[in-house]
Amino acid sequence: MKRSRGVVLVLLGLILVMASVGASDEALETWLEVNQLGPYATETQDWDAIIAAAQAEGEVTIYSSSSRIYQAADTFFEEYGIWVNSYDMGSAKALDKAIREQEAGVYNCDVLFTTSAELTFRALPEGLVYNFVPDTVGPYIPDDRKYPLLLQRTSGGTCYYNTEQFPNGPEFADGTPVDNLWDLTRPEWRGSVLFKNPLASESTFNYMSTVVGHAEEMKAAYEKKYGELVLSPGVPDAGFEWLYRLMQNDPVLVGSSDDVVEGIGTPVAQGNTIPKISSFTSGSKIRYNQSKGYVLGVMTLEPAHVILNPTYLMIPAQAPHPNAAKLLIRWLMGSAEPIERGITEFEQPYWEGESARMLQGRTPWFTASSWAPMTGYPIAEGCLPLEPPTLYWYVDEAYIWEHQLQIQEAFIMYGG
Amino acid sequence: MIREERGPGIMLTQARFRLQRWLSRPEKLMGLVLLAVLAVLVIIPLVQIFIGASTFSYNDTRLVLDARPGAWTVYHWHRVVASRLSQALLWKPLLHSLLIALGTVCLALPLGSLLAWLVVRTDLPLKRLIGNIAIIPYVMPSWVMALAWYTVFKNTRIGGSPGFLQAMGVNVPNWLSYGYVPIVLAMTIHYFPYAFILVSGALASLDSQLEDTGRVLGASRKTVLRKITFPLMLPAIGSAFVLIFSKAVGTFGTPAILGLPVRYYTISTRVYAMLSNRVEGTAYAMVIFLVLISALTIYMNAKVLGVRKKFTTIGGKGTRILRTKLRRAKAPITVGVLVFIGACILFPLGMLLLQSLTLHGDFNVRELTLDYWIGAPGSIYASNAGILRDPYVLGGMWNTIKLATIAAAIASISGLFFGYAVVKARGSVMSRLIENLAFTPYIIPSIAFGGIFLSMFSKSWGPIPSLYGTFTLLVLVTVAKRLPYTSRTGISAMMQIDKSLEEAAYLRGASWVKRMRAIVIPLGKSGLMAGFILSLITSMRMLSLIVLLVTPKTRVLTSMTYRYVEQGFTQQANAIAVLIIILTLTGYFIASAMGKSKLEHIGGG
Repeated sequence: MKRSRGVVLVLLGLILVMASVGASDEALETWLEVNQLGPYATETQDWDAIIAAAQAEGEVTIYSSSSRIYQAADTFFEEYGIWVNSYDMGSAKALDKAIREQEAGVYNCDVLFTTSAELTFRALPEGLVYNFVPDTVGPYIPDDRKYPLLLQRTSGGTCYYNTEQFPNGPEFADGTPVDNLWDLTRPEWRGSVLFKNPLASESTFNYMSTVVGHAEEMKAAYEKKYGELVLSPGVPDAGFEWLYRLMQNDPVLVGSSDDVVEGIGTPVAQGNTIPKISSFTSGSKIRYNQSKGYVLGVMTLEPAHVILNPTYLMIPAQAPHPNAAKLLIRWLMGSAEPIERGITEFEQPYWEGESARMLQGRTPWFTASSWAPMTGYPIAEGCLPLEPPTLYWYVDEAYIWEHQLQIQEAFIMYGG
Repeated sequence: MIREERGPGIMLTQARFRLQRWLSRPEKLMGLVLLAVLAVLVIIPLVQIFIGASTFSYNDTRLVLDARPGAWTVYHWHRVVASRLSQALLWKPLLHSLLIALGTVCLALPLGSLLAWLVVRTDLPLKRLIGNIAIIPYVMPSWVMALAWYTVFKNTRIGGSPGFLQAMGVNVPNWLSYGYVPIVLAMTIHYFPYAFILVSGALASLDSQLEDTGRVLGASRKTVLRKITFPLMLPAIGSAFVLIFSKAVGTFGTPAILGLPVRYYTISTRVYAMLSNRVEGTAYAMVIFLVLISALTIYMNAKVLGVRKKFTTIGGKGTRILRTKLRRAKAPITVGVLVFIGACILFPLGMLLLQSLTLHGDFNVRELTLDYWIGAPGSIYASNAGILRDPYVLGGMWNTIKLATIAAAIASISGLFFGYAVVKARGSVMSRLIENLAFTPYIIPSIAFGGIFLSMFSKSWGPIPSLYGTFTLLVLVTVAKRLPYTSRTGISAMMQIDKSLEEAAYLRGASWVKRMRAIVIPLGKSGLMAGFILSLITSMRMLSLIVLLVTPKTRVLTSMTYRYVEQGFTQQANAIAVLIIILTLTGYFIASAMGKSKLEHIGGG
């Protein structure tokens, strides 16, 4: 009796497990259909219905690569009374946790807000995340910036120096300026180049990979300043050679871009006397010159001194609060009003009055080195126009997806 | 004919009789259940991770052209051991891990032994106090020391505002700021109390009559020390060596914090980096290496010192401890000991507290603020509130307390069951199997254990559901990692209960449940309570074990501190670290007030 009961229990358990596997496919299909996502996505949305449903859901959870999400979450709560569980996790961890939760069938996250080639090339095709383009801004965004994933912003990675240590821009002891990416690999900067650990940051990894991917330009830039480039043994091309020489120059790896800019931008009077420079780091940190009293300057380097990195918004499969997720995405994109009214610049301060009303959830990212995907959208004071992109490189996700593991290996092998 | 007809009947009766007898001795049934539990928590994860290291995963198809997900391969093993990557990925970090563990043991063990000798074998005053506070650095999380170190010894290498010493005008060299030396020193401060606990236990049970006999027979003090005391202590010192070594070799937090600026990697930090980039097969192969090292150390200890263990059983006439008189050295030694231990506790606590109160984290005492503690939302960068008003921190604190309480309750109660099953069936194969399997998590370093559970529960596997992202997973991994300690507590608690008590009840017809409720649990209660408090403390301060498994929803204070450290939010990180110290110390003081704390069972995490 006892044994047979046990067998029945085990069998029942197995059936339940198998049923739940089958059910999750069905659940996903239903979820997509009900929420008009994936194959059921529409060009326009019924926002009254979405807002009502979102308010009934009451909360929304976002995994974000940017700490500024907290500010946007506050304004979202003020506007709609919907509580945002914001988790600022950094680009790598936001991606890692969201993907693992999807694979485990755990649905906690409603909006994923991060950067990585893995999103376009794996998470989306495998149905782990879904694209959502709000019709409020959709018509103003070129196709390649809303498909396959909605771009929230393009942000620039730049190389910093300390303007008090180098009032005329960084230079070597003999007076020649630091104006070439290869200058970072010179012995004068040994132990003095700071950057974020690329194995712990998708954005930094993207910056590094972009330099590596521009082997031809890197070769030309070297030859322009230093003559013929001799590759080190086992290094395939000029791109990898730059990474190799950078890593061999005893760089200082830190955990966050805040650490990078603190290390470089702290005023000399506060004891920051030894010159340091950075490799590519989030360009928007220049805002700390106001908020924290830093003295950061941005280096002008050949062949490129700004690398443009995309940050996307998307809804993970079977998100528990899909309507609030849609509303939050709409909020983070900002309104299209400035384009419709032909406004070319916002009044300062951006987080108050009319500016804040139009910028909506975009306010925290309306800074230097940050560009909205909408054509004709204003840029913040101190932000250079994106076109024409001289000395700017775009992160090439297709290249990174293909070479990611190879570059990862090289980084480790070269001493990272 | 008749016999043939009756055959099955007799067999059935016999079977029923056997079943009845079997049910009256439920420790066997319990043993089976516990074996099943151990299979899920220990054996299957180990098998799973081996499979993970020996098959292709999805990600591998991007690097290896002919890889098919799920197919068997030696690719990861080759990559880890003998590729052009091996040097940077495995061998150097492995060497670092070994050197760190060795350095830590070589400092912590003499320090702890000396303290143990002073407390147990001399007439040092304030023994109780010293014995109690000496444990505190071990009760605090080990990475706290790393944070404090960073705060004080930070030099110009990473730029920014200088650390405490640099601000005072002292030039701190890199080797003292980051990398090997500070990692070892920080870990020594954490582990010397552990050595103290282990060695003082052995010293207390060492009969000084043996030494007296030697003295009477004319041996000099030195000879007695060399020929009697030391050989008798050797097994205890040897096992202390192994216990500390195998804990230190897999530590994650301290090397992660102090190693990165000079790119000083260990196996544990490499495993973490690989797993958080989902380069899994490679990471699992490295995890297996880490497990093998620990297993090898324990095996060598058993091999080299095992034979000598027999010495300890000598001297059955009751122990008498002769205390060496410190005479004139008494006062300076007492002061020295108190100052040293005090510094080990107050230095990190004070530094972290002080920095969490400074506006820019630069020790400018003219700009003190409570904003990082109780500031309103928006008073500090990124619009966070002070930690005591930040819903995320409070949520993390609630998770920490919930996790620690639930895990400690389950761990200590299941420890009692383990004890019962092992002690009742003493001498049987099953008893030995359970005891050994329950000890296995000890040799698996925490970061590896976390990695194993990550692989095991990331996807559903047969009847085992995927638990990633659930609170249950955190409880499960904590309970499993605590097994070596809780099962030991349970065993020693059960050993103290005389067999005859339960037998008497059995003869009076008491059912098993009744026997458990009326005899076993009440008598084992004090052991249970001690085990509970100690599991509670360790569960609150652990980082390595859960750092790979926490998700935003299941965040705990330690994972949040680590995140803040990574982000460069120094003051918040330090404030939360202080909060964790306060929590664990509260637990510890409750435990020592209850007086029954068996501190040798502390640990883990």
